[in-house]
Amino acid sequence: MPPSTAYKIKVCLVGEAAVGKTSLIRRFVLDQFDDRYTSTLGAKTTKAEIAVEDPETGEPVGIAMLIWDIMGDRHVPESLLQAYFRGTQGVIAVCDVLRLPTIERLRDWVQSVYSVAGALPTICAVNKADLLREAEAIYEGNDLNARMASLGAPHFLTSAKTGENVRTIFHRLAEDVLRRHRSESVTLPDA
Amino acid sequence: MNWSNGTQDFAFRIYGFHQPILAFSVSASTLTLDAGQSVVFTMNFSNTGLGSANSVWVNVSLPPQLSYVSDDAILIGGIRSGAYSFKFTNVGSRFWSFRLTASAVGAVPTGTVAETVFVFEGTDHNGRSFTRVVHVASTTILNPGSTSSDFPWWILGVAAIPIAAMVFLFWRRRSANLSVEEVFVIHQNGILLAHQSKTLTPDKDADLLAAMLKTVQDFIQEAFSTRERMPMRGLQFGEFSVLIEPGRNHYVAVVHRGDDGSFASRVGDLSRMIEDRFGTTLASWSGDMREVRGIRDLLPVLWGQEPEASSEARDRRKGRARHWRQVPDSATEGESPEHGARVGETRFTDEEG
Repeated sequence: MPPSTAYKIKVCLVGEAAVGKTSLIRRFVLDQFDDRYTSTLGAKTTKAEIAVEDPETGEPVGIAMLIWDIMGDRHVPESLLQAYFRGTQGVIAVCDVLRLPTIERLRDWVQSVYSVAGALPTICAVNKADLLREAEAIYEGNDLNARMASLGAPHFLTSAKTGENVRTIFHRLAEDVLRRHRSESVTLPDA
Repeated sequence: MNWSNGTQDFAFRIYGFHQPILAFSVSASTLTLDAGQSVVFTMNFSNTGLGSANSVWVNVSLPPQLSYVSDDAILIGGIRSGAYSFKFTNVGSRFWSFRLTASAVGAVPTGTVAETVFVFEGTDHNGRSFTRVVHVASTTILNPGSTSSDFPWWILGVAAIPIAAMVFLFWRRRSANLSVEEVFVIHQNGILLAHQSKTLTPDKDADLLAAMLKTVQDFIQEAFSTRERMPMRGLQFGEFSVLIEPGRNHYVAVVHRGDDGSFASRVGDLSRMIEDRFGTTLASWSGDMREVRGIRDLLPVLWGQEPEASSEARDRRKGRARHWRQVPDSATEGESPEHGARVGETRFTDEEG
C-alpha cells in the first residue's frame, strides 16, 4: 500500500522547444489536461505521486509532485514565466542530445527559475538518449559530459521513447527536495 | 493571446476592475390620497462608479389599497415583468428616473396607511449581486363616508398573512439559491492546501485543478493587467461563478451558484482567518501537509458556522488518508448547509488523490 501524501511539491520542467519535456512527463505522470493548454497558456500542470525514502527514518514518504510543463517557445513573455516559476521547489532542465544549442541554453533557463525562486535542487536531463549513437558525431571525446558537468547539477541521459532514466530523474529530484526540507545538504548549482 | 497557430483562447470574464457605485431613492407626489385619486412614485437611481452594472432591478410591491395604473420605465430601457418588477441592463455611469402611477381603491376606512415597498438591487459589471436598497413609501388613504371604527380589522389581518408568507418565501428562495459546489484553498505557488467538494467527480484531480487555476490566473494577469498587478477576483462559466479571494500567501477559490447577499463577505472572513492562523507557516511553507491540515477545519465559516474544533477534527480524521471529499446528501443537494443541508451530517470519505 503506498504511503499517504505527506508532502506536496512544485517542480518545473524547463528547456528549449521540442527537447521532449512533455514526452518525459507523459511517460511518467497523471495527465488530465489536453496539451493544447501548454501552447495556449504557456504552461500546463501534471501530477506524479511517488514514494521516496525518508532521509531521517528510512520509511517511505508519499510525495505529490505538481509538475509545471513550461513551454519552451521564446514568445512566452518573461514576466509570465516568472509568475509560473514563483514558489517552485525543484527544477528539471531538459535538453536534446542532438541539438547543441539546447544544451547551451540550459544555463539561461535554470538561471531564469533561480532569479524568481532562488537556488533550488536541479536535475539536468539530456533527452533523446535513444539517438545517442547519432549524437556521437556531434561531440568529441567526453565533450557531452564536460558540458553537462559545467552546469553544476546532476545530469542523466534520458529517453521518453524507451523510458530510460525517466523514473530516476523525478525520484532523484523529489529526494533532493525532501532532503533540502529536512535541512540536509544538497549540492545546489550556483544561483 | 495566441502563441501558436491553431490554438484558441478561452472566454473568461474578469473581476477586479472598475466597479459601479449605485444609489437609489424614491419620492411620492402626495402623502395623502382620496379614493380614486392617484399617486405618482418617482424612482431615481444613479451609477457614479467607473464600471457599469450588469443589471439593475426595481421591484415595487403595491399594497392592497393601491392599484397599478401606469409606468414609464420603458422610456429609459426598463423591462417590466410580473407585478411590478423592472429590469435595466448594462447600467453605465449616469442618472436615471422613471415613474409609476397608482390609484387608491375604494372601501377602505379613512386614515388607512398604505405602504408601498421598493426594493432596488444591482449587480457589478459581471452580474454578481452588489447593491441592495429597500425603501417604504407610506400613503394615507382618506375615504370620506367611511370611518375606522366600523371597519372589520380582522379582514386586513387575514389579508396580511398571505402577503407575509409571500415575502418570507421570496427571501427563502433567494437564500436557497446559493449552492457551494467546490472550495479550494491554494498556496500562492499553486499547491492545493485544502479542498471540499460537492460535485467533483473521481476522474477529476483536485490538485491538478488547483494548479491549473493558478496557471490561468497568472496568464490572465499577464495578459490583461497594466503596470499595477491586480489580482483576479473571479470567473464565470454558465450558471457557475468562481469567486477568488486572495490572501498574502494563499487564495480561496469557491465555485458556487447563486448568492445569498453575504457569501462574498464570508469568503473574505475565511481568507482572513487562514491568514491569521496560518500566515506565518504559509510564508515559508515547505510542502509538508501536516503543517496545513487545520485549514480544512476553517471551511465551515463559508456556511456561517464556527470553525471545527481542532481536537474533534483530529479525532474524526484519525486513521484516514490524504484527501477528504464531501459526499453530497441527496436530500439536500443543491442547498448550502446554512439553508437546509446539515453540516453536522456531512459525510466524508477517504479519497486517494
